Amino acid sequence: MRYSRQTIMECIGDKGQKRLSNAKVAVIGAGGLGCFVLNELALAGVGYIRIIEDDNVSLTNLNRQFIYKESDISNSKVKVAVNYLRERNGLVELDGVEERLTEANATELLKNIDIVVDCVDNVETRMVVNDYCVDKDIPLVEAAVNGLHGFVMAIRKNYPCLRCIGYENTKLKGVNEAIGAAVGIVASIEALEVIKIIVGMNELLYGNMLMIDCNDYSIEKVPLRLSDECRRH
Amino acid sequence: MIEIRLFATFRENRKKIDYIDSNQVEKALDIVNYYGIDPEDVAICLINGFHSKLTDSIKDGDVVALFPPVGGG
Ligand SMILES: [Zn+2]
Repeated sequence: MRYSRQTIMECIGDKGQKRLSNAKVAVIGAGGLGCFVLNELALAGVGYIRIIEDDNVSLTNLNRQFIYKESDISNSKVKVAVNYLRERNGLVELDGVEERLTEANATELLKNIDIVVDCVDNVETRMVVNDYCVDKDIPLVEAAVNGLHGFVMAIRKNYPCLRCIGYENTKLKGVNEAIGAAVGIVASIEALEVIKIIVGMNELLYGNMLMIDCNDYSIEKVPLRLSDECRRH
Repeated sequence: MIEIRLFATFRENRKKIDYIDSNQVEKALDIVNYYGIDPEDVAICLINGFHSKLTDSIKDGDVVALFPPVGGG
């Protein structure tokens, strides 16, 4: 009954739901994108979710990171998020990891994971995640947002990655702009892509960068190519 | 003609899709300058979907896509 409104969808069904409950997903970053993604994946019935985040809750998070309350300020995001999600869906196995993902610990922190979801806020960690997933051929869903603009990508070994588009040269300036209503749109597409990959649906984002413009409400797929200059391809 | 596709904040006060006569520009950098974009602000430049440098030359029929930094989480 819990999942009946989604299992009646022909593209999911009981078979898709079983795949969701068998899936082991790692969500890296429990900030703006992470809060929405974690919520969507837990409610949809992803069986195992590992949350990797080393940050504590701060006041400036509260305009968009709806998992956290005023009384959570200074507390570990991972701890609060695990409790929040557990109350919403007790069927999901939650594993909170209070660490920052690095090249040195990526293999350990991402062990036994079927799909990685990147919700971090810095280029350095994105590249670590990108390289790990391409090398191990683990599906990776990437998303980023700034103000009213965001993108979502799906990456695998045989498809263009962040290095293929030169993303490692991205220089982020100052404080990132963020409003929950726009972050939620980008994050929901990111979460949906994860669900579609797990269930085995078509029309995935591999080979494309989905550009989401919440200013004029346009959304478009930009086809990407593998680059000879990519260190991973 | 060269097709120019601007994304995210590069669209502010500019067109999303524009066309420039290929005789007017030699490199992607010429396009960036034409639109008054600071080259330092270009995070990603794709020519026909391929990662490219602003110093790479462009030819008639190319599609040039320019992206500012988007990296928040
Ligand atoms: Zn690559």
